[in-house]
Amino acid sequence: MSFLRNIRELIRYRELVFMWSARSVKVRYKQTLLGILWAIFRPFATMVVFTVIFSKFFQVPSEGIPYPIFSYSALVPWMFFATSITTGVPSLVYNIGIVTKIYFPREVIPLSSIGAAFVDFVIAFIILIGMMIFYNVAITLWIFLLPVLIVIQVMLAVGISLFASAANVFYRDVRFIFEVGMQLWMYLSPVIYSVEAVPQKFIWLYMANPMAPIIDSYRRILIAGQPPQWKFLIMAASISLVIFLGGYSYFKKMEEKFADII
Amino acid sequence: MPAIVFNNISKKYEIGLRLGSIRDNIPMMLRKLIGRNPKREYIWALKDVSFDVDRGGALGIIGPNGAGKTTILKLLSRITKPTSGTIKTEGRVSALIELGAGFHPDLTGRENIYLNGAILGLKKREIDERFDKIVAFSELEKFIDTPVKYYSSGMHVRLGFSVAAHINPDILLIDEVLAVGDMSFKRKSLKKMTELRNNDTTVVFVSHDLRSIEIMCKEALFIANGRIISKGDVRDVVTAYQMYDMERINVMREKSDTSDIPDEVFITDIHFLDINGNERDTLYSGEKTTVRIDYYAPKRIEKPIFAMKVERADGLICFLVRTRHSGIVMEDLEGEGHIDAEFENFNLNAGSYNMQVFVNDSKDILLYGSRNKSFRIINKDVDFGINSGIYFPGINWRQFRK
Repeated sequence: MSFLRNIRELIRYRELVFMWSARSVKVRYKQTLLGILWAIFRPFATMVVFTVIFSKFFQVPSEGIPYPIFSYSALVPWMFFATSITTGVPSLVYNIGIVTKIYFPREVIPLSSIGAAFVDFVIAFIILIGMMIFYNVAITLWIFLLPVLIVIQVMLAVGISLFASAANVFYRDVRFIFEVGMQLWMYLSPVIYSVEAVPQKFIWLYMANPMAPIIDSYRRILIAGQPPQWKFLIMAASISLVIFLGGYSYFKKMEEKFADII
Repeated sequence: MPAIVFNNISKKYEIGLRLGSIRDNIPMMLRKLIGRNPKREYIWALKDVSFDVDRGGALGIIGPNGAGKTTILKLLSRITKPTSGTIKTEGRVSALIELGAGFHPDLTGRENIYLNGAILGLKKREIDERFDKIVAFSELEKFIDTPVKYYSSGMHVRLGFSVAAHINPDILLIDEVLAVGDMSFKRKSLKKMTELRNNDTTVVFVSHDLRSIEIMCKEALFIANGRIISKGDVRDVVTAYQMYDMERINVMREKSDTSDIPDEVFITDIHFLDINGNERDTLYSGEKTTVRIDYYAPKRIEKPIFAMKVERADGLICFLVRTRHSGIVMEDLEGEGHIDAEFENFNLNAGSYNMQVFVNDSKDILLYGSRNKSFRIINKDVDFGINSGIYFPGINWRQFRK
């Protein structure tokens, strides 16, 4: 089966994915004063802005959780997702030079964008742990579900990035669609507000966005000490799996035309 | 067992294909919707090309620009897929198709070696083992921690070649890139490629430098317009290419020459005659040879001057002789006739050459631009080693013992 063969070849090139991710991180923060601290500063500054605007001015309810940690615990996974996509989608076109001159499995390039975003995620997560201690958040065993959430989210990001980065080779509009789309997508996910704010009759529709149950689950297992809403999380996992498989097979189908078109 | 089988490959590219944004494609999509397919234009970069290379063999690919040489390398390295036909390659393929492929300008030489090694399929440990050798070969010890954006193009080539050659590939594909490096590095690279070939690496080498091809490869392939013109023994193929190249230049020259020169005399043909008076296109070094120049002068030309120039395939002028310099005053020309120039010993070395004949009037004003004739010279009875240089001296060797 060609899917298994592709996966096997990708595994052979796993070191390239690590190295390329490291390269992306290095290049991104080279010649900046703060360097890797930007990985913390970006979500942290956004959290401060959100806290001032939504908590102080608009008084968005946050389920009794202090608003800074309420929003930061959602911003960290959200920014991981958004950065994965906004850097993954144009990545193939950015690397034209290499694609037309040397062979390796092309999915390495968008995957490495996600790898680099993951490094930022881990760093920003350290601050989240600091805040959890600061706000005296009670840690429960549900925290062990964290890897599961990460896997679901990465599957979704990989599927979208593979599909959209390949499409972006043929139509450069795709990248802009996603840049705008990610803004909207954030408002459609429970980042600045709580899922409780969503009217019950729309809840299934709302939760059909896989990022909604994913973000909600992060907040539940890390901050609220509650289990995720299983039915929604399972739905998100299934949708993510379908998107992953679809995106990957589309990518592999288009891959052979990349060098001729770019 | 061949390491490369390139079987009946054709590769087609669509030209004028508008890609880039959805807006650009809307007209095409609309036409598709109403059932009128837009006219598509294709070019065949390669057409029915087949060859194979044995394990440890070396194939040189030559041909004019745009012939499809790089396309062959791109197909072999899997960068692009053939439109039809099948390709089999055995083992790890390492290709140096363009300068600094896979180098990131912001990363240092050291970081790029690791990244490039990984792109070529090496594990980190395997790169560690080879790192020192790569750096030593590239002679970039001092600059290895400098970002490659500060490298000169020569330094790029040195690093790129060094990485590609040291990953112990089963198949090494090298494009024109070496031309950028300096002479000493080029020589070193050729030596390294020979060494790899002797260690069972299969080499495919594209170059305009025919000397390098002759040194590196036993076999060669000459393609033009995506088709194989000649393949086989490197010397035959190189000669075929040189003849083709000269013909092409002659056609261009004749077109341009005849346009602005008055047609007072025509040189209708040039023949090479051997010692027995038989016409030949291939001559032997050092043999007696007669060059017969046929002319036609519609009007009377008084005391013309003939000039004869011979160039080697690479453009080197071997000699330019004029009848006046030899102290000869030619008789007037009128009507048809021929001039014989007799060479007691035709002392040119083996190779491909082009002869050009001009006719001037007695005041040395050019009357007839030129007539070109390509010819080939081989060394008689020599089947080991090639002589170099242009001159083939007739020497009597004698040996003495004390």
